[in-house]
Amino acid sequence: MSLEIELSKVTKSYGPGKTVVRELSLVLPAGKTLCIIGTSGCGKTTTLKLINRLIEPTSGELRIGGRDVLSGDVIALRRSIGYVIQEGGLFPHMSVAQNVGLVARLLAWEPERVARRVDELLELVNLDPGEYRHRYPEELSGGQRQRVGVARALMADPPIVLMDEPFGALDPITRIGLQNEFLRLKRELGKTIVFVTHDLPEAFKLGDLILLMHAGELMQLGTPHELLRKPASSFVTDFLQAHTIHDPQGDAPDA
Amino acid sequence: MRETLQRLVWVGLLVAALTPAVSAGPAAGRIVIGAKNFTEQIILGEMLAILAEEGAGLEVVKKFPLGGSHICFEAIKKGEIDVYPEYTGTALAAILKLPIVPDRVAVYKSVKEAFEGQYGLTVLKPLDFNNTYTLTLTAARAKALSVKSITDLVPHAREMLLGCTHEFVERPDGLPGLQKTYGIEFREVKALDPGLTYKALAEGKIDVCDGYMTDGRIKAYNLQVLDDDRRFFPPYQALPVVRTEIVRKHPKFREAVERLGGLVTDEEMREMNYAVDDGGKTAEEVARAYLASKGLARHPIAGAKVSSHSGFLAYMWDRRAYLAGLTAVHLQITGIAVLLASLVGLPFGILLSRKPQMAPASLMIINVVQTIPSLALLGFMVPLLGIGAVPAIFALFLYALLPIVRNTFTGIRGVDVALLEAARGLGMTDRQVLFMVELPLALPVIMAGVRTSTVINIGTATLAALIGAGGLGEPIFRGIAMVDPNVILSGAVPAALLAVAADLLLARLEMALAPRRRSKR
Ligand SMILES: Nc1ncnc2c1ncn2[C@@H]1O[C@H](COP(=O)(O)OP(=O)(O)O)[C@@H](O)[C@H]1O
Ligand SMILES: [Mg+2]
Repeated sequence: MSLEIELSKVTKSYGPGKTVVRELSLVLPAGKTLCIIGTSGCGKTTTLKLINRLIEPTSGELRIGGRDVLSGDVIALRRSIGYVIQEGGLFPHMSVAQNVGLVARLLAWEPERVARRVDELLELVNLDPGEYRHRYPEELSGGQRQRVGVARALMADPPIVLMDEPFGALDPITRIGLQNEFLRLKRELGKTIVFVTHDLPEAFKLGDLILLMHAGELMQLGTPHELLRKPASSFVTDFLQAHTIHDPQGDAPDA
Repeated sequence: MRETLQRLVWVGLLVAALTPAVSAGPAAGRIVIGAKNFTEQIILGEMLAILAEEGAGLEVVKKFPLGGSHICFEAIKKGEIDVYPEYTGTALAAILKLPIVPDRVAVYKSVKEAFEGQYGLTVLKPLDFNNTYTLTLTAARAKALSVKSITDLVPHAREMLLGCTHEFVERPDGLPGLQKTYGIEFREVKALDPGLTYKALAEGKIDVCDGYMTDGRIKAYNLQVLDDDRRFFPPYQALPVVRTEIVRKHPKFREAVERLGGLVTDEEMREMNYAVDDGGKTAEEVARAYLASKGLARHPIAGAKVSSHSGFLAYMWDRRAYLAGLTAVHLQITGIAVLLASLVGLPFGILLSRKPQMAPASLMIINVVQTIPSLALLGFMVPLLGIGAVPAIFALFLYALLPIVRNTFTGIRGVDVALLEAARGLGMTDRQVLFMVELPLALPVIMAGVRTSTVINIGTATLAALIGAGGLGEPIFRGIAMVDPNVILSGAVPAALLAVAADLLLARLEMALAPRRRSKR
C-alpha cells in the first residue's frame, strides 16, 4: 500500500525574514521516491518534518492520499508514516527487537504478532534475528544501526516513509551497500518515500523524482533525466556541475 | 516501560518498609520530659524521669537535650513535652521579658503567676540551689590583674575576648543587661557551645567566659568567679515546669516532684555536674544516686554496671539497644524526608523540563532555601510546627528538594534531542515520550540526585535532635554538653556509617535501575 503526497503552497516561517520554506508545491505520486537535495540549511529537513507534522506549516495545505491531514489527529498520522533519521535514532535503552517493535507496541498489537513481525523485518534488512534481536544499539555497527532504523520505520507497514539523510554518517562502502538494499526494498515494498540527502549521486541513484531546493524555495522538481537534460535555471546547472564534476562528496554533512 | 514502573513501585515499597510511621504524641500514662542542652539540665531531666517512673508509675519518653530555653518553652506550650526544668531568672528575663529583680521570692512569684495564668503551665516547688550567671576568668589572671568583682573587670575588658553561650549574647539577663548595668565593653565576643567555654578559658583561647555558679568545672579548672557587686543577675533556682493538664491527670507525679522542692544545695549540684563532666559518670547514674540518697528513688542495683566507660567500643556495646533505636529513628526521619522530596521533586522537575523558562527562577528559590543554615531552618520550624519529628522532617524535606528537582530537570533536558524527534516522529504521545524515553534515560541522573539528598540529609538530620526529633544527634549533643568524646562518637560514628551505607546501597540501586544498554552475553 502506498499513498500520494501533495504539498500546496506550504510555507514555514519563524518570524519576519525567517522564512525557511516558501510556497512549496509538489505532488509525489503513490509508490514513488522523491529525493530532496540542496545545500546545508536550504530547508530539506524542514520540508520532511512538515509532512509528518513535527513542524506545523505557517500556511499552505498538505494532503496525503487526497485527504487533508493538517486538521486530523497528529499522533495517528505519525504512526502511519515511517520515519528514519541519521544514525537510525535508535533508543539506547531498548534492544533491537524493542526498537523495531516500538510502533506496534504503541498500536497495542499482540506480543506474538509483534515478535513475528520484528523477525520478518530483521530478515528483510538482512540482519539475522537470532543474532541481533537481543542486542542493544551500542552493540551494533553504524550500518547495522541504520538497518534497524529502517526496519523500525517499516514495522506497521506504513504507506509512506520519510528518511532524513539515513546514510549520511556511513563510510562509502557500507553506504553503497545500503543504497543497493534500499533499491531492492523499494521495488519489493512499493512505498511512497521522501528521502533527504546532500549527496547528489545518491539522489540520482535512488530517486524517481528529484527536488532541488535553495534558501527554502523549489529550484526544480523533476526526474533525474529532466534535471540533467532540461535544467530550469543556471542555478540548477551550476549546482549539478559543482557537485557531480568537481566534488561529488564535498558538501559538508548538515545533520 | 512497565518494567521501569515496576521497579519504581518496588523501590517505593522498600523505602516505605524502612520507614515505619512516626510515633504519635504523648499518650495516657506516658510523660514526655524535656531539658536543655547542658549537663545540669540533663541531670535534672534524668531526675524528673526517675521520679515519673518510680514515683508515679508513668512511662517516660526523654526528649532531651533540646537546643535551648526557647525551644523548650515552645515545646511545652505546644504540648510536645510535658515537663522540663527551667530557672526562675531565665523564665523572668528571657521568656517573660519582665524587668529583672534580685529577690528570690518575688521572681518566683511573678514567674508562677504568669506561667499559670497565661500559658496553662504549672510551676512546682523550686529546688534550693541558685545557678546564677557569673563571669569567670582564670584564677592566675584574676590575681595578676587583682580583679575580684565585675566592676573591677570593666577597665580591663576592652583588651579581652569574651567567650560565652549564644543565649548569653542575646538574653536581657545576659550580656546586654550586663553592659547596661556595668557599662562593660569587651574587645570581642565569641559565642560557643556551653560545653566548651571553660576549656577554651583554661587553654587561654578566650580571656573571660560566662559561668554557672553550680558548674563543677569552675573549681576543676581553678577559675575565679567575679562578684556581681551591683546585684544585676536575678536568682536562677531550678523550677520544674509542668503542663497543668498533666498535673491534673497525674497527681502522683506532682507529689513525687514536689518532694524535690527545697532540696539540692549549690554544693550538691556542683558535685553532680562535676561527676558527669569530668568524673566519667552518666547523668542517669548521678541523678539516681542523689535521689536514692534522699530516699526518693531505689538505689542502683548493687554490682550492676558501673559504666565508667572504659573503651569506646565497650561503651557502644553497652548502649547497643539505645543506639539501634536512635539509628532507626534517624533512618525514619531521613527516609520520610527524602521520600516526600522525591514525590514532590520528581513531578516538579518534570514540570520545569516542560517549561524551561520557569527553571532559573524556580531553581533559584529552592537554592535559597538550601543556603539557609540547617540549624536556622530547624529553628524557624519550631514556632510553626513545634518540636519533634514533624518539623525536622519538613526541614529535611526542604533540603532534599534541590538535588532531586535539579537532577530531574537536567536529566530530562540532557536527553538527546534527536531521540526526542525520533520518538515523536514515530507517533509517541507526550506522555509516552516522557515515560518511555525521557524518564528511563534520565533515571541515572535522577537517582544520583536522590542519593546526594539522602547522604546530605543523614548528616543534617543529626541537628534534628536539637528540636526533639531524636536520632543519632541525641548522643552527639549530649556528648558536646558533657564534653565526653565517647558519647559524641557513639552518635557520630553510626551516623557516618549510615551515610556511607546509604551511599553504597543507593549507588547499587542506581545501577540496578539504570536502563540496560547492553545485552546479557
Ligand atoms: N526552530 C527554528 N527556528 C528558526 N530557524 C530554524 C529553526 N529550525 C530550523 N531553522 C532554520 O531553517 C533553515 C532550514 O533548516 P533545515 O530544514 O534543517 O535545513 P537542511 O536543508 O540542512 O535540512 C536553517 O537555516 C535553519 O537555521
Ligand atoms: Mg537536514
